[in-house]
Amino acid sequence: MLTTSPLVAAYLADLDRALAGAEPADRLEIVDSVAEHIDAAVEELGASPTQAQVAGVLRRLGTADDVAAAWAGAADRPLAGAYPVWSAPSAVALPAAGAARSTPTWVVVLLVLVGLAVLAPALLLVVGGVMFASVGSAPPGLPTIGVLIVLLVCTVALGIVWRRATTHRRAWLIGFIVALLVLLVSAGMAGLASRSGTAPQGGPTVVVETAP
Amino acid sequence: MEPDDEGAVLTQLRRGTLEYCVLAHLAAGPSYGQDIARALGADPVLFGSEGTLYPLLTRLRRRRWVETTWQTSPHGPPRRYHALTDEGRTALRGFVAVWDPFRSGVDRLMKGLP
Repeated sequence: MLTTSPLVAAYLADLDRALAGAEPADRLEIVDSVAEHIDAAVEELGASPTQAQVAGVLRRLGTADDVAAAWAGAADRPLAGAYPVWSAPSAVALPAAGAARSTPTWVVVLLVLVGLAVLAPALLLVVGGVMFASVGSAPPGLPTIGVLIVLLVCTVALGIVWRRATTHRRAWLIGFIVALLVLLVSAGMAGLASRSGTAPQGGPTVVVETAP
Repeated sequence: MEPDDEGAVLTQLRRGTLEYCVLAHLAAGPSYGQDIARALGADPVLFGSEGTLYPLLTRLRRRRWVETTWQTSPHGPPRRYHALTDEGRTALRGFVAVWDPFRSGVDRLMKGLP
């Protein structure tokens, strides 16, 4: 990565701050895209570009506030004052999503239902994982292999949902593989614990009677 | 808005048209950010500054008019390539269908000015 120049680092930090009101995924995507643009433009300048040349690249990009204002405009969020001329150097407070208009009740209900549908695999995963870890095997009445399959399906479903929500494929892939490995290792350990815990059941039973 | 504030007029016009200019550029094939910025920036009337392209691309992707993939580059690290989706193509056709009569109407009125 070539964006190690102090000028570039300061510009990207300003941009990140200026996008403070954006959704995190949008904010990350815009800052990453601009950094990628700077990398490519600086690379075209040769092996050791001067500070003035790097400053020229940043000047063509516009100020961080210009970019943030473009996001606010693109997101259909009306800005107060003379758009897009902003004088504040950084930390532009962008209106929150949905602040410009009231949301109908049915939209809220629909969003809650969609949110629950997306969160269901996560909740199942957490609840199932906690029960599995605390009991050392499947909860009473459930086959161990069934619980494992449910956990695996939940993990894969979450992975697919998250994959669709981001363009940062490498980060997603690493996170997904780590989550899958953690799940498999936990399941293996729980399986071992379960096996060692059930072994005494086949042996002789010791009955301790207490004197009255 | 001041009547003589050309910058504000340009901003308003760009707001409604620039995204379709991006779609029109992508109609020729997938492209990466710097390439799009260079193409649109060739005409200063279209583009105020290159950086404003990226929020626009984010918006287009959220609308599913554009899809973004990583592709290797012969000159450096992988790049985000943006491609027109079927929905984007439909949106572009809709804009083109409206743009000509809209422009003709505006031209007709403006030509009549003293």
